[in-house]
Amino acid sequence: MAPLLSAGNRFPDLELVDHGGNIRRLSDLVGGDPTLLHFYRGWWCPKEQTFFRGLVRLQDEAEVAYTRFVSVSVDPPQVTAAFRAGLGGRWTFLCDPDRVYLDALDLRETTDTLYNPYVPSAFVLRPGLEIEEAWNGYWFWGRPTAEELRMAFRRVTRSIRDDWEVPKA
Amino acid sequence: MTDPWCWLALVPDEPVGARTASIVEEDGRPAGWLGIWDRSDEGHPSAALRMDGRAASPESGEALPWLSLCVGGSPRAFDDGGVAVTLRRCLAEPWPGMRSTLLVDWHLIGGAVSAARRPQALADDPFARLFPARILRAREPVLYAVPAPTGPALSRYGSGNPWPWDRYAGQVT
Repeated sequence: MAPLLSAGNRFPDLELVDHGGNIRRLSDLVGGDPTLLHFYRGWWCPKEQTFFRGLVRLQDEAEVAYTRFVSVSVDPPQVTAAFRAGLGGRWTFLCDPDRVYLDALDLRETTDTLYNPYVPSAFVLRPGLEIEEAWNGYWFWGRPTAEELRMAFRRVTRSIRDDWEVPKA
Repeated sequence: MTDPWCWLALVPDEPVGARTASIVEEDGRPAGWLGIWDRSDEGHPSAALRMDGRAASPESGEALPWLSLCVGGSPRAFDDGGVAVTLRRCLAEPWPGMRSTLLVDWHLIGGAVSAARRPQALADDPFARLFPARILRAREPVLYAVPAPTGPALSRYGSGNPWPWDRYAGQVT
């Protein structure tokens, strides 16, 4: 993983089009909640499809836990919208078909010269875009498990919610 | 800073002291006036409901002329399973341009309003399964585009604030 994108650093505030064709800024999408920022190769990759199935299961917990997901690929919006609908994802997908951030983030998968995709990678971000934890998913086992994501979300939530300890009456 | 919520009501006569738009049915027949009052304005009618304040702000996005207004019948508890299923559908399906639940108070949801550039985007409003729905058109700008929430989180940020208002007061962002 590029040193720029290691824990403790601030993730660059990306501005990309979402699956619905709307311009979105990462800082707005993260807001005040712990957020999974996830880069994936594209709809066609079986490893991505497997990883997404795990995220779709995890979203049922995230939906009640003030936790957000954002997934990014080089697929265009129409392809992304169809992929998202097929998965049953209920979070925002961002599209970088022009590969604007691929080199700026040092996340180009250099071994794939056909699609020129993002290296699969995952980050749990804190409000303000500080990186809590980062995973390099080039090899599938480098990706976070659901349990590792839960632990990272717990750490961030505990540190940002003043009422983590039940308020005294 | 936009207030998390404001008051919204559809009334027969043009209200005084509110931001208003004349409203027509899909076929052009008059349907009354949509009024929006600031949260602190005590001049709102008793039937007014709480709407996401961003939807009343021109700074949020473009004005959206077509409305799906789902109000009437019995209010539901926000924690009703049917409400949760509806919110999931809203996140999964294409975002029309703006949506807001309409709250009676911190506990009860009395309906929802959605807005779009075209009526076709409102044809299958998930809230129409919970409340009677009408497709309407505003003749003047009154509701504005608000981006879809990030998802998958769908809880309210403060029980008195309408979904999809998406942050707690004073949060670091």
